[in-house]
Amino acid sequence: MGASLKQDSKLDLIVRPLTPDQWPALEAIIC
Amino acid sequence: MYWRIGNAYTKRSGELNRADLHALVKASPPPGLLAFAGDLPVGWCQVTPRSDLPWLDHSWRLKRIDDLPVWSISCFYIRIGYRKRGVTSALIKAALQVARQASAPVLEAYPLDADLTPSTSSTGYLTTFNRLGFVKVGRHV
Repeated sequence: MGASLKQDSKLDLIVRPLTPDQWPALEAIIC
Repeated sequence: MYWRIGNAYTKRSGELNRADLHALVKASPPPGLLAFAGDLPVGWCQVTPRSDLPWLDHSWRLKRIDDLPVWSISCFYIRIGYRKRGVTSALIKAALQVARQASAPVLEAYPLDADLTPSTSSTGYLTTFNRLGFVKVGRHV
């Protein structure tokens, strides 16, 4: 997967691939 | 993890499931996407080749409809307080880009039709996918 993907939405969101360094972010959501 | 290991997912501890997912993230191409509002992670979407999720074929509702090497959006999780605010749509739009970059012939998903069931869904809702241009190719009730 490539670089960060900026998206339009009601929130100002950034969507990024789940890379190993992003694991704490996923844990913060699902745990 | 459910679609990777099936019913074993519900029989194991959450700790073990998390450990396996962590190992997968460390060892594999990215298995999905995260949405951030500022520095806060607010959403997760699993997007992978369907072939990475063998348990989809164990569900009669989700069996393959053809032999194309499709990709799948198989799971969402949106942080409480950030639902119904466009996070799922942003993740789907990004997933479409990821699938295109991977030359996937099709990106499929398994949303619920909220008009037919009051269930909550970790696979998204039909109306969201319709708005983003997805076409219904199968329906199971």
